[in-house]
Amino acid sequence: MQRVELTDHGLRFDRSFALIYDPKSKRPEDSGTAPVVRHLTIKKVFRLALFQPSIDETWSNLTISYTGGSPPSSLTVPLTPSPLASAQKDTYLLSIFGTTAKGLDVGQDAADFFSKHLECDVRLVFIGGLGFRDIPGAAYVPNQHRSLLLALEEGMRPQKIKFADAAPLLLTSTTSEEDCRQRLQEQDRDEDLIIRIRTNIHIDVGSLPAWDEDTWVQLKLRSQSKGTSEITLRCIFQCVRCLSINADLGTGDMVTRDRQLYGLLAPDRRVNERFPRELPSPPFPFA
Amino acid sequence: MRGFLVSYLHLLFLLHDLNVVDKPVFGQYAFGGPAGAILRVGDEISDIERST
Repeated sequence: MQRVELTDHGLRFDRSFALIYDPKSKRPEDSGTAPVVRHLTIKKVFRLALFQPSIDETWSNLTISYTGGSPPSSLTVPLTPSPLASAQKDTYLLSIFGTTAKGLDVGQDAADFFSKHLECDVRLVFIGGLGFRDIPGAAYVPNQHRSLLLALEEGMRPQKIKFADAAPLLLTSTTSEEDCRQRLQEQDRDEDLIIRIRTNIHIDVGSLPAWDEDTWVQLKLRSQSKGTSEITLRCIFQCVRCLSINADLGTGDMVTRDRQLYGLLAPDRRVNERFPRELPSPPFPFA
Repeated sequence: MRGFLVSYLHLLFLLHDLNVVDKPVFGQYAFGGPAGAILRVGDEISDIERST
């Protein structure tokens, strides 16, 4: 995207939707509580890579295209469902990385679209309730108050997230991307790795060394937009990667072994500062 | 009670994900502000503060 808006919950519209396995059984009328449901993640369901989202120019509608069929099919839903319609929808409780959020059922058309292509009963939900959940990443930070205090000092409000894994933003650098690319075989180096890495903000750092972002604490950006001269990005902790970076966006399966970023990064990138650990030698095998 | 529940859920998550030590790292999780600011492709970074 050429431009995005920062909010207290990350980038506007970012991960406002999630897919859940259809709980089948409706909640009891008198229970008053929403049932906890399981959500789908790309680290377990690689076929999710075949759903490509796009937002129209007016930031009104989300279109999800399924690229795994011929001809391609798509679904369009409002980026923000109407409050009146939402009040009549079923509500579910999602637990993601230890913190919970409500999900509003988007409807049967969306459920049918995803269920057909995933070949299992799923439903699309929109973030409900207050519209956000707590950041589970705080559990990784020894002094949880540090980030929040800094946020207050800088005039920011305490941050929340929607259906994101662990934090509102993920920052990466161009030199780290290039380092990653050099680990692939030559014929595979044209691939757009950032889509697999799923970065929110990818930063051109010029001649700085690869993995420079490991030491970042705070960045100041000078915005080109009117009315805002400076934007602060505060780093919370390093992003620990999972098998999702092995998803093949072309086939909806796992990439071949020589393109598996997880395994290619593991030999020297197990450098989580919260969990110092001697690097393995020789590299761990990975399948 | 709610605070206890949140802490308990965090603990459960950490126990479930203890193998985090074996996972590779790429990128920095972050948050930003002020809310309402527009980020555009081409915005310049004016300063980077680093950990020592």
